[in-house]
Amino acid sequence: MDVQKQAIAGEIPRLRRYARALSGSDTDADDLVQETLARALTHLGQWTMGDSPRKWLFSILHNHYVDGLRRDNRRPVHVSIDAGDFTPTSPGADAGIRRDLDKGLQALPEDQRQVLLLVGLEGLSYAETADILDIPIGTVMSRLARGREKLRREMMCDVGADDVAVGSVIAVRRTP
Amino acid sequence: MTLTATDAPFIKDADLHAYLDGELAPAAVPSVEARLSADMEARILMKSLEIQREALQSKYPLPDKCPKTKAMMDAVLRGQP
Repeated sequence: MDVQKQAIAGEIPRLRRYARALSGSDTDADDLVQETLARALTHLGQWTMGDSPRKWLFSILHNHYVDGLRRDNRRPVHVSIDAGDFTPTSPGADAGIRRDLDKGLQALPEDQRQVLLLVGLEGLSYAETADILDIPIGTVMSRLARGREKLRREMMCDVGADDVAVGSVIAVRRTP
Repeated sequence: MTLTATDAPFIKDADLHAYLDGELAPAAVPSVEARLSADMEARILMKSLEIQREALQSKYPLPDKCPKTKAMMDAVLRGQP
């Protein structure tokens, strides 16, 4: 039991980050995480020891979030989070890009934003993301590509030929 | 011999995303890298996706040191979230 609780506690930073990025509100995010943790502790038997608790906890959080949206019949208002527990790691030169990122995230459809955050922010695999959202992997890939493209257009990254030397671009791949 | 954009293998954008995310099947990696070597537009797309990913991670740092997170962790360990 204690091992399970420790494993759950270890996921709290990621849960808080994802909830904050998803909901756009500190208060909503912490409520969401609290509800997720309460449910997880009440249903510890649903988690198979030996499995990573991450997918299980993100699934619970996602379900709570979707239930809340349905209940409130609203889309969350996204606000800048350059404050509080989520102070950006590199303030200054990147401020313009982050503002564009905020604007772009606001503009994304909910389903694309969820996939983009799970893969691009949390680094989850396509298979884990598909399980959490209960959708096929192909849907994860298509939502991710559409979401990234919309965000790319919104961010208007000024990338030119001088920035894309062959070696530098081939080195960007994330190691699985 | 150097490939040009027109004779490099055809690669879907989804493959570029999968390459960026480390999700591309190992057998498909050489084709994507050949495309990236030969096609500047593909390299620009890849670079902009990399910038986007870095901006996202910079904007939303992991709140692993803040008091609120620690309080939540302590509450879970006590069984009282």
